[in-house]
Amino acid sequence: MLNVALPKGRLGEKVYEMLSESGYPCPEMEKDSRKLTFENSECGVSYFWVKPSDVGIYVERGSADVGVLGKDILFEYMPDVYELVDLGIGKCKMCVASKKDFRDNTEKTLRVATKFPKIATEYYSGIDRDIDVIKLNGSIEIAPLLGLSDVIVDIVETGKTLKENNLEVIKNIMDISARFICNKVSYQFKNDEVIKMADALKRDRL
Amino acid sequence: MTENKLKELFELYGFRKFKMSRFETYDFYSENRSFLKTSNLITFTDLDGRLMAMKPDITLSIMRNAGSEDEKVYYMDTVYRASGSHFREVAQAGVERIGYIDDYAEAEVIALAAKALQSISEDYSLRISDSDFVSTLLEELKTDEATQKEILSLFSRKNCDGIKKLQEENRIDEKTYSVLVDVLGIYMPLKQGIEKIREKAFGEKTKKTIEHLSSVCEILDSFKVLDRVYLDFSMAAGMSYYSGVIFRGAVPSIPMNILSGGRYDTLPRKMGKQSGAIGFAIDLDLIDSYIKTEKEYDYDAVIVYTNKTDKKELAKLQTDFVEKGKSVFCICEGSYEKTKERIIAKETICL
Repeated sequence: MLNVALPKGRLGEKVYEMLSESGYPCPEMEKDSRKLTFENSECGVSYFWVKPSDVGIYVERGSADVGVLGKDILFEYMPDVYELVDLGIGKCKMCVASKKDFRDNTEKTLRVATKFPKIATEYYSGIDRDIDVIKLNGSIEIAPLLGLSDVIVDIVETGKTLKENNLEVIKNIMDISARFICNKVSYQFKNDEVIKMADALKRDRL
Repeated sequence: MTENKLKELFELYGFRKFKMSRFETYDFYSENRSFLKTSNLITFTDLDGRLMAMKPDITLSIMRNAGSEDEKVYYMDTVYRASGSHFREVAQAGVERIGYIDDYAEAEVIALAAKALQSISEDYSLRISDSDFVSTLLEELKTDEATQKEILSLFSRKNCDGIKKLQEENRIDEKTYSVLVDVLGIYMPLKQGIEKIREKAFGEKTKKTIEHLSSVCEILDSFKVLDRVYLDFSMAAGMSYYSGVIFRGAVPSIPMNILSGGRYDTLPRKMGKQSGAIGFAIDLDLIDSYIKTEKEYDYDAVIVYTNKTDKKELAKLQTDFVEKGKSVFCICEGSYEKTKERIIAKETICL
């Protein structure tokens, strides 16, 4: 039996569809319900929904053998897990954005608002720029508009939100997509099952 | 429980117990900082004004105290490490073999690691790799330094798609890509793994490593532990402490590695000793928290007595139980009424 942690929301639903088509369906899940765990013992799989940023924790600590999460969250929380498949869905970019007329004054510490303090810190320390990280939990785009920060580090999917708020991307930090991750001990003791699921997902991706 | 079994096992293989102080001078750790996995120490000033530190690591202390002749020691001790924003006590058991280390000495320690895992769980796995294999391979494949660093980190996460991306960006060539993906894909019984990797064309240095692993593998076979030993090169990344063979052990009921060890010749060399060293440590706290020895009750018997009970008779009754090897809790009636819910015993005798 493989325990699969899926992120609540659009990405998780899409991944479930992929898994379902790859031979891991769970009809019970397709019904509208408030249940959080679902099992299909016939194909040896048990799913549960968790908050996207928690998937890594469930997998690292072995409550789930495998799971799916975005590269952004994987990078931000760095759980000690294997990253077996790049699913090629949920694609977007982690970017630095600012107001259109922004000019970086390198004499000053740069104020950066973000939901991803680790990604932002690592990026700027990589280019030796001194920054002041301002951790926010949502509506990041508003920060430069209100003068809270000079720039933001955030996920950009279509760029529509930025455009409507008169912001623009000034640097692309990394490409993001959904990853299939696995607990390091489950990989050893459930190796056949894990590899089978990973291969099925790889086929589905192509 | 686990501690006793391990102690017995280590002694059977000729290791003697090593007991040491809970703290060392701070200078000792700052001189050997590169060998510590942590830079956070609990420090205090001793009565003579010297700055001391609570032990964050046991191997360093053993190495300092050991002579340059052959040593086989084991320990069961506590180390103090930072975890999140707090210090934590971590109970460890482990062995260190110092001195002239040949293939046999190496295989013996690895076999002992396997037996130690077996004493914790019949089902276990011990993964073996070589700390320098992947970086040597990357040098032989002539990848540049920045890419090497990236590949090592991709290896530790078994991220084949990441390596594919490097090839698409033309940072590594087609041949390098295919060799790396083959090497990373290996998670198989040691013997089979060595055979598989031998087929690949490698440089002199990596070939030597493979032949070394192969001769250790043959000795492990005679130690009768080979069936649960696997080859896995994903462990190699970022282990500056080790030089040579490394290994990690796990059991199905615990989601993290509980055993880790390897060859670490650089440490004795740095301390001016002309010897090699190999050892491993087991995280006893992890075993404690995941492997439950659930007991149905706390005591075999509770004897509830009153003020009127003949205390001489009570003592006789208790002694009877104890002599049969049964645990007893004697309690006065008044106190029993108050604590009843918390006392779970197989039988209750009211006098």
